[in-house]
Amino acid sequence: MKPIMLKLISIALLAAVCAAPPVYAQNARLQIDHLDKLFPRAVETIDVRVEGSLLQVASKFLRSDRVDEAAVKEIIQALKGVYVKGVEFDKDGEYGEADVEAIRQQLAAPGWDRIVGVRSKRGGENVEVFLMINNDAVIEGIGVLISEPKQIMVVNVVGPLDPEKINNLRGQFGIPKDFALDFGGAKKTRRVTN
Amino acid sequence: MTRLASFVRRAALFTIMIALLVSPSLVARAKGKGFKDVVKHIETNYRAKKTRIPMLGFANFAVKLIRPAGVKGFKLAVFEDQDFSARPGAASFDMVMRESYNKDWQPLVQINSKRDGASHTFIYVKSSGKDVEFALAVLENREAVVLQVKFNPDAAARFLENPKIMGISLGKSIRGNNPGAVAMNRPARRAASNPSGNPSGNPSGNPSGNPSGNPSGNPSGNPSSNPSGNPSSVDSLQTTPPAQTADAQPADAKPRPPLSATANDENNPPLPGGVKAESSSSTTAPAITEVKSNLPGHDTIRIETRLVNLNVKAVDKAGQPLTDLKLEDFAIYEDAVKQDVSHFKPVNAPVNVLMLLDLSGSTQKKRGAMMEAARKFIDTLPPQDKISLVAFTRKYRPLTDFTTDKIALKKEVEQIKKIGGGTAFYDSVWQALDDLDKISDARKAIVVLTDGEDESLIGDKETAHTFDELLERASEEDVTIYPIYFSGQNHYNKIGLLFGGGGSLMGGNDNRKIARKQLDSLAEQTGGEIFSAQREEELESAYKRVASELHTLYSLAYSPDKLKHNGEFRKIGVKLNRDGAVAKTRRGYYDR
Repeated sequence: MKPIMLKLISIALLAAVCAAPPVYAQNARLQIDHLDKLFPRAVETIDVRVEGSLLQVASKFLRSDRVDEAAVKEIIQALKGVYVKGVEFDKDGEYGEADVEAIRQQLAAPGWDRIVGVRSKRGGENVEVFLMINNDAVIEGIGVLISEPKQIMVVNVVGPLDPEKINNLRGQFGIPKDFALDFGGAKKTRRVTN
Repeated sequence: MTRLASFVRRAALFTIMIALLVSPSLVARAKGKGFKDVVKHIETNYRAKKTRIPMLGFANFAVKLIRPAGVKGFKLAVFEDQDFSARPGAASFDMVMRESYNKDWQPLVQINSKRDGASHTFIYVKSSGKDVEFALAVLENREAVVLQVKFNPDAAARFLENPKIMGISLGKSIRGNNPGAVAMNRPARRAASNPSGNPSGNPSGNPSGNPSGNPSGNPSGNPSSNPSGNPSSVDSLQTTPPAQTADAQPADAKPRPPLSATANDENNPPLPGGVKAESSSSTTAPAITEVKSNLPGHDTIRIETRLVNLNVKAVDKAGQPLTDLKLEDFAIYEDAVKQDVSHFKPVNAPVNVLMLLDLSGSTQKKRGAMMEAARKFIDTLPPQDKISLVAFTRKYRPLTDFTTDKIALKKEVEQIKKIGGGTAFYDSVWQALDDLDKISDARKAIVVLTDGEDESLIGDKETAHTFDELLERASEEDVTIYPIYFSGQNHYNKIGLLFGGGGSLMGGNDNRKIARKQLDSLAEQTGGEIFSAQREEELESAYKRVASELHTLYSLAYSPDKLKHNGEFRKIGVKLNRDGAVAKTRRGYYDR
């Protein structure tokens, strides 16, 4: 997959949140361990699992008294986990539709909304981005599913991720300066005034 | 009683110190066998021997005592240049890792690849109270590293903010003021030492506005050494150039090679009076030729000439290369004044190609594909092309001289397997230009396969030459540069890019962008073209395109009619006698 497409997805992921309706909190952690059985046949595998305690440790390296670092620190501290699994094969047909379907079913559950879907007939690439947003307009989870004839990759970020805090990162980490997330504004305002 | 207590305290301290010295991994042994088991597995299964690291035990003891950056202890085993290909029937490395780090340890990253042999990377972490233990195991085709570190994150964070060891400050904050701007700050820092004042991170630094990097610091080619400044002046031969005048260039300007030009047999114009050139420096600007004179009273005549060589690519309206042009189809202009073209070589004339290969650590896993692509590239070039194979890491490593012996070249490609290290990209390209200066033929090219990230962009490594200096020099040379940008996108990059990073947590993507722009500029300023290979499979096609590109170049030369030696930039333009056709060549040269 081309990096530009991944960049577009990441931007689209943030931007499309605006349109997503709020839902009740669900479990944003995806079960993706079944992909482990594909590892022996794969030419490349990646398995990343960064959970709460380690994220807390990572956040210690960021200072609260610097505006730019404080925003990142707050986001990292709140995160519950980041999980990535990827397998890449030498040839087509090494994995079954059921392997991907098992993940899609979880992402089709109430709470998840598909905000980006890219399907390429030429390369057989499918990229889907899902968000789980709660009633307070906070992102509870992000799911990215990339499937190609020779590759599957799943990225799962378990929040909360406050869009306002993401807004504070404008101008850094590739986020445009004029980027703004303003979804669920009424609810946010109400919450703040309370 | 006080003396007794003091003695007991000292004795206890002494005993602990001795124990730590004798057994560097005492602490870890008491708490788990992860490290030991993994090392044992590597030693047993692969019959590998650890590389001896001098003073490792002492370093470990010192770390335990001083606790620099919050590190309380470490264990390290390195295995170099040994065969780590999978053994049939042996336990898989990931299983060994799982079993060795089973209790309390959390797997953080597990990456396995079967490409180019097998490679495994594992990172495990463990919380022990306020401390964190971190284990890294990397097993590749020929190398393995096992590292376990115990550190206190709070102390490490304090160290990053205020680096001090035993009360001695190591300088200002390691993290810098703005993490997002780390990468962008570096070029600015280097620019401070750049007399041009042109930020080195700016790939489009305008050489014309920057005469300070005056190459006339090179005595042999210093035009100002000629008091008359007259290209055809006749005087006695000066073997030693006069001292450089103070105002000739800034005191801190680095010596630079002269502008390329040739005076070899083929290109050297016949001299008047039937005299024969005896010398000839292959390059340069201006060339000084010793001539046996027929004039009475003069044994030697000193003739100063300058030949400006150009490698020119001609394309039609559709961008397709034009390969059937003749001398009369070209018109060369210098500062809008038409010049007489004195030399012409068609596209099928031999080319001197310097193949420069980036063998930094980031390319380690791609060596198989790189070797295969390099061999095919060598085969693709016409038999008369001379090729030199050069690898670079932090060092510039010529593997062969310029040769047409393809069998020998392909054999030498094998050597790149063993080489690895950093990326001194700017200095290596500079050195490659130096090597090509020694070649008398005007048709010269550098084909550089790299991710382009000079280590000065990534870390605090200083380079002998900044990018601006390199770009300025390259734009004056008659060497065409073809970068093959090998970004090597993989899972790591994809994840990084997805989250706006890419390679490193902060600034990695910026570095990549800068590197890419710099490669673009090098290609553009020298009349070359950049090719991109994101994946190993794309390398061959990138090289193929370079090979066909190399033989779309015409070589032309002219002698400028007015030399002023005033350091001004002379702009070169080439027009073609074909409708809609466009010529691409270097921008110009400095009249020094």
